[in-house]
Amino acid sequence: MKTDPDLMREFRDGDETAFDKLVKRHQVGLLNFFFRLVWDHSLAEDLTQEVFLRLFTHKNDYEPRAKFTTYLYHIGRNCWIDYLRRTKSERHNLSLDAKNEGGGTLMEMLPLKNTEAPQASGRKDELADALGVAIDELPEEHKIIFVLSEVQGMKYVEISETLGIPVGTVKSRMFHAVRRLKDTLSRSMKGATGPWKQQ
Amino acid sequence: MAACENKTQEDLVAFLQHELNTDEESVFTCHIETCSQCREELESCRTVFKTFKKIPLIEPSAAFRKNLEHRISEAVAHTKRSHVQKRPGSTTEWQPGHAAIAREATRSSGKASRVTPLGKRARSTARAIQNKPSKTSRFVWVRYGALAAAMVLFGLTLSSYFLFRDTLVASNGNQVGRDRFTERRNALTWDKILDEDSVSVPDQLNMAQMYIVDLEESRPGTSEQREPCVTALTEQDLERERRLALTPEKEEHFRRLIENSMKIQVNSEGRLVLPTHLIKRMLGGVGNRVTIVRLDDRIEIWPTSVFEDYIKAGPQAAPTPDPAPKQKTPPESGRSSVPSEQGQPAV
Repeated sequence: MKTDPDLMREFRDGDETAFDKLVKRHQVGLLNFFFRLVWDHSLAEDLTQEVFLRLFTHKNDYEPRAKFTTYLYHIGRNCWIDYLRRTKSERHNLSLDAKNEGGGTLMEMLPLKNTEAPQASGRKDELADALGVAIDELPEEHKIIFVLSEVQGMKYVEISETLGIPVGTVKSRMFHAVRRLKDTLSRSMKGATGPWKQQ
Repeated sequence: MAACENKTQEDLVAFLQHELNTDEESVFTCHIETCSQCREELESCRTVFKTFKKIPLIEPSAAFRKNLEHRISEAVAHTKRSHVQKRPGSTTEWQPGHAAIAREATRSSGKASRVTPLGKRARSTARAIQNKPSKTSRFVWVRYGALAAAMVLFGLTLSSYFLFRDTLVASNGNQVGRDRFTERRNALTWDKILDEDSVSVPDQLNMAQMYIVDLEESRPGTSEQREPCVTALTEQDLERERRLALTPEKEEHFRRLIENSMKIQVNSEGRLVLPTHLIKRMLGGVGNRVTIVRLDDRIEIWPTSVFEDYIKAGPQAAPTPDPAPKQKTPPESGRSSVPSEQGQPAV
């Protein structure tokens, strides 16, 4: 199996099938990365296509000095920042609890697994909903670090290279992100037992 | 958690994400075994990660690849279009839309009356692309050209006036002559007695540099149309007559004028001596009284009786000085020395 830099090199040499393979290999990861940032399937797809489009048009800019995913998600981070700038004035409405055009909330769009019995899964789905709200309320710089780490499985070093920040900053932001998520979850799950019990 | 240091709290999250090295991990493990608060915190954070993992991965929609290919093909087409539109060697950077602007400018430049739908800015851009001077710069050149032409025209008019003003005066000679008693307010008359061939000269007149001319003899026409007066001209007037002799007829007139002219002669008593033949032809038979008339450009010596008849009856009256057989009848029309009907000499 060819590595990402090999495929990228072939694509740069004119082999467009290599680009197709790169898309197939990374489309799900990018899509879920964006989905956990915007909680909108269509918008996440649009941002993912934007990343691949930039990869296509800037194929000659790639130099295999780091992991390909670092380069790819660096593009993703730029697309994400551009999106935030474009929608700065209207983003206050983009909340999981805010009503969308269809009348529902973004929370209702979360594709939570519901394969377990209602009695057993109700508790867990409720926790996932609350976590989704908590992630949505995170500061952007914390949110993207948490998502990169948990969705893409990036190590702190990779995240620091992708975002261009020190590893210590990644570690600190990750800690603050997790603590805020835990606090938000515990506030929304009052009365819960176990780890969600109010301190 | 609050009881432990921040470093330990950060290590707690890093421990869960396997980001600690071996030494850090062993230290943190030892701490967990002794700190129940951190153990509880560790479980809470682990629940966060576990719960997050429950959010399933989503898959791209069926239209994802198709939309991606469409966007890529559009981008490629746009890039190719941009390369084609960029003209080699052009100093103006080619921008999307310049082609349409340039085409429109090319069409409109062929027909001046055609109204181009482009705006002012677009036309300016099109001119810049076509490396044509702008409308403003062209207008400046037109303005300068018009100014230069006006100056040349003015110069020509001025020089023509100075060159041909005498001709203009000559062409209006009748008008000048007819009104010479009325319009020239500085006309003065003196009544004098002709003693044989001489007459006393008023003190106001300086006739030393003048010439007696037989103006009537040199002028074509019948004797009846001649005026019964002796005329004296200055040198400047003679020179003007010479310059105006542009036609053969006038040249002949000037030649006769010069032939029949003589310089003013003043005798020892300070009296003006008139040629005898002129006295006979102009003044003879009408007494010895003469009227000297000073005009701007000449001096005329009239028989007083004839001159007074002119003043009383005007140019329509035909003075018939009796009994002079050669007495000239003032012309009803024609050149120069006929006083106008309304004219009164400023006597």
